[in-house]
Amino acid sequence: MATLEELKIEATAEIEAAKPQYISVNNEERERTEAEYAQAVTDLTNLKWQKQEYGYKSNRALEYPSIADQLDDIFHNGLDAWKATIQKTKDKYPKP
Amino acid sequence: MSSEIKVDTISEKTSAAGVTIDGVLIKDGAIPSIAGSGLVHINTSTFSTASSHSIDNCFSATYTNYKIVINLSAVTGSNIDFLVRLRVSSSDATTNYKTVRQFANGTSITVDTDPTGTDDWTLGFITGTGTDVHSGTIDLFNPFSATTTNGLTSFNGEFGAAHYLIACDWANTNATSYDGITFFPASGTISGTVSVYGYATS
Repeated sequence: MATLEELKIEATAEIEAAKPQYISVNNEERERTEAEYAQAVTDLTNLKWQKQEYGYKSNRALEYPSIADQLDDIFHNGLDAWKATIQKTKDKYPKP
Repeated sequence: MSSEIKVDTISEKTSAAGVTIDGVLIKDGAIPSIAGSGLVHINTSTFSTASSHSIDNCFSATYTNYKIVINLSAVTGSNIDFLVRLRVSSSDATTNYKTVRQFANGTSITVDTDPTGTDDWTLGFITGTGTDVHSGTIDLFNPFSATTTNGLTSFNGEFGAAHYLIACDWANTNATSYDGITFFPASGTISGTVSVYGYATS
């Protein structure tokens, strides 16, 4: 697991590599100011932290079968088969 | 007295005064009492390969509630979070955003909370496939009042080549009067159009 400081270094490198970045304000395009680049680094760092700590929830939710399909799975194949299906997704996106 | 008058044209007698029928004024091809009611266009802005798109001074004391229509014609990257912030005096606010997100694909519906933290709102996820576009609407309540701003959104998103309906319940609990809004992808760029409308109350 990366620390917040390590994620900030990653984010800084990504933003640096993506320069120059242009933003649109009131229909006019201009390059980000230094303060806006700093905010972009903060945003990306926070997002990386959020994804690292809690992203498994969203990833699992996106991949689990629908409730209807899970009920169908239980009805036709039993609880053990259903648990095996769910476990695959849990293993793919482990809780940190 | 006849109960019906058939003529081809009724013109104003007094210059620039219009014509009044049963209390309703018709003037210069419009009914002034209707003009400006309902949904009133405030601003349409376009952007191309931008890291973010901001609109200032689109919220004011004129309207309490707003509708915003977003059309993204091109995006870069895959499975990118598409995010929103409120603005005040040309600066983005970065605190106290709450999002409850519901996303549906096929028969599967999932709900999560604050999927990208509390320093912005999540509108959806976007993927640049070259041919796909993403669109959405936002109803925003009380942004200009110095009280909680709420929003309800619907957006069509793309994640892992699957199409999603994404609906969000938003709140920003700052007691701040916001006058603008910013849209931005978590990474990459976006191109498109945003229109802002005010809900007139009379």
